[in-house]
Amino acid sequence: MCHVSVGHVIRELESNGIPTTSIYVRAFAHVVEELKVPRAVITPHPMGRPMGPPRDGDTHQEVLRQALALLEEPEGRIVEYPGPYRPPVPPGRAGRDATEPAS
Amino acid sequence: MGESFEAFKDSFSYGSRTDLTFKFLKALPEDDAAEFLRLLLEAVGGSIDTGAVDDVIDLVIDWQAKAYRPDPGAARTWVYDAGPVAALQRPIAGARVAMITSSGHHMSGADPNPLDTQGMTQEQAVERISEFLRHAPQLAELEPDAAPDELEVRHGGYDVRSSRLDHNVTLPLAPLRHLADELGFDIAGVFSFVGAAAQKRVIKESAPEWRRELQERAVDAVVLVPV
Repeated sequence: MCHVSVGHVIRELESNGIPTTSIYVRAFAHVVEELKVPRAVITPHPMGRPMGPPRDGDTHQEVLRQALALLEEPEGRIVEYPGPYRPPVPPGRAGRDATEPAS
Repeated sequence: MGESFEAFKDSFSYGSRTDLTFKFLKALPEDDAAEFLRLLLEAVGGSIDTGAVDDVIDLVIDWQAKAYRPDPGAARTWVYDAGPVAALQRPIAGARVAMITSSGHHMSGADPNPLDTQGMTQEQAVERISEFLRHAPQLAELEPDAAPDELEVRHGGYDVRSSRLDHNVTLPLAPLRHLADELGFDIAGVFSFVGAAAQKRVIKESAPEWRRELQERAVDAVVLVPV
């Protein structure tokens, strides 16, 4: 329901001359179409993590950057952010590759 | 008599086994839910030896999308034929940009006390989700430079664990500050509300009220993050 609520806020703002941009996870991309959200970055992330994994500041920033860039589209545009969703490897585990066969 | 599989899968959605990451099981037909669980266990079994959980992550994401996607032809309440589109009237550099999220964040010490309840816990928010859906939402204002320990998040509709690990997952303050510096826009305000709310009241009361507030702040554009 949150995605629909935000869609209604978007419609109110756009109809009163305030342009918007938004970030929707793929599971609720249908809401973008149903509510005619004009600008959105669709992320391939789980529900509840629209910007990306915890502690992945690079992804958060790039997703927001792409959303802000959509404000330059006067007629609106929907884009898809490429995946996959991958939480950063915790410190201490970097370099370990458990898929390599034991020698 | 033992619990049916239907009752088992439905129990993850505001039932005896509530898990907001897996509440989507209720939306799946029994056969699909069974298939998802089979695939999930297969992926978990594979991860025991490799330590890699990519397959588990991808499976959850794919099946969330499958479960929440409406059936073709299903009756839908909020569907529009067309939508309003406004154009940015000035370059982003020098623009006043606000952000609104439906993540349920508020500043520590400034709890909006939803449903006239002080100190509501996350667990209580989950238990009372149906009440939230009957009320208009409350908009909390946040400090753009708030430190993580100055923020609190509470929302009965999604798994807030990731937001508690890193608020930027649903309330991207750090990227907003960084990009404001880089692109040269001003942060005109940051707000958050619990998106699980009565839709007619959002349309008739909340959205117009918030729009007037943003107009008073001479906002040029708004970034919105639904959660």
